[in-house]
Amino acid sequence: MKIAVEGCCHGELDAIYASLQRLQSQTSTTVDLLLIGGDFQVALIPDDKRLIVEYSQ
Amino acid sequence: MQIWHVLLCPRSSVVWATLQITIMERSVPQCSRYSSAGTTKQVITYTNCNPPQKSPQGLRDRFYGGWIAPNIYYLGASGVVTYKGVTIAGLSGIYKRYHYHQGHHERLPYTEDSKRSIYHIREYDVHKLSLIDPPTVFMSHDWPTGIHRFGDHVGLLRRKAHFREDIERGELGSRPAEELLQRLKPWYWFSAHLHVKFAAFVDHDAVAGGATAGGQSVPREELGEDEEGEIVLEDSDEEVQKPASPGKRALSSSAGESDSKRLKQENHIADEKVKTGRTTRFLALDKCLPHRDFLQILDIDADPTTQYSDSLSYDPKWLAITKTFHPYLSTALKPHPLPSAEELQTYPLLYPVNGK
Repeated sequence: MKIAVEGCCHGELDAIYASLQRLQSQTSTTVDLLLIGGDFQVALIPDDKRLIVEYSQ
Repeated sequence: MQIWHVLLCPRSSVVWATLQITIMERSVPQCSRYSSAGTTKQVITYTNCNPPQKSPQGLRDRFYGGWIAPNIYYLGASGVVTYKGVTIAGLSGIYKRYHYHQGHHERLPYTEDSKRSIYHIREYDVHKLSLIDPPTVFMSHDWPTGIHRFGDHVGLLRRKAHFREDIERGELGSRPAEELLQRLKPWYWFSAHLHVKFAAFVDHDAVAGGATAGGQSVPREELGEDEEGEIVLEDSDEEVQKPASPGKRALSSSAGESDSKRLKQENHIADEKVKTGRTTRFLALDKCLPHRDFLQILDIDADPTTQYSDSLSYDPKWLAITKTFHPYLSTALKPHPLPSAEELQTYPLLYPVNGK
């Protein structure tokens, strides 16, 4: 199984996804699972179950 | 593409009230929303660690873990899940000695102190994790103390000279995480927090044979870069053009054929060691910034002893541990005493009588 590991997130999900997409297409690999090591820094919107990324200043 | 995420989040339970204000003050374009159309298939986030000013309450509500978005699963203060035959355990938060023996006492409205302490690990969660079977992967936000001895610590200090003082005091990282590493001996251990890439290879047999109580560092030539040979492919955002590091088995390998053969042999030897369950590959990664080593892809084999499922699944033993320990969960500053090993022997969930 291909597992991607990421360090601290710091609200940068977009950048992480973009890097992962590019890496997968460059290597013709499909990742099954992404593990994020913390500092997620997002807020939950309880009603619609979405996440809002809080950008650090 | 759809990927699931598993998160280790210590920092995500920050004060929700504070966060709401922060968001309202910002214009909509400054926020990104992640809906079910998300980008990856499955993300386990054990979000760990927390800058105190973020938002912990959301994760505190999911103390035992859970989905925080359609494809994003938070492991909880501590947690174990399985996916496609791989068991993933995680401990959220960082270690601070003065909060370690407290209960999970933080509650709204948070004070300046509790905004920080809520991200600090507790003995309760570490004790639960000490009872699990050896997982394939273990995640902790801060590093296990002493892990620097099993990798290129000279290079680490070259890049992060300010680590020296903590290393000398034995305080670079988490002592409870080190104890879990020695006890569980997982195949892989991933950490973050210190914002630097660092790989290490722990041969537990060598540590045990090394006599000293705290473990003995394996000679660097047996570790060093070679442990990175296990990494199938590497990426660090803008780094694609960079040549592969020595000992690294990059997918788009630029290494010569003879190098590849050598690496293959070394990897084979290391693989055999891992199959004994007595070695751990440690990998810490940087934060997500351009030109930083923050992302890596590994090829991890399923454990034949773990039930295979295409869905993210609970680990049965972890559920038994969680249920057994729930009565001992304390929300007071001074926690309830945890059950002794003898007491635990009497719990049928953990130790079924006659194998039932």
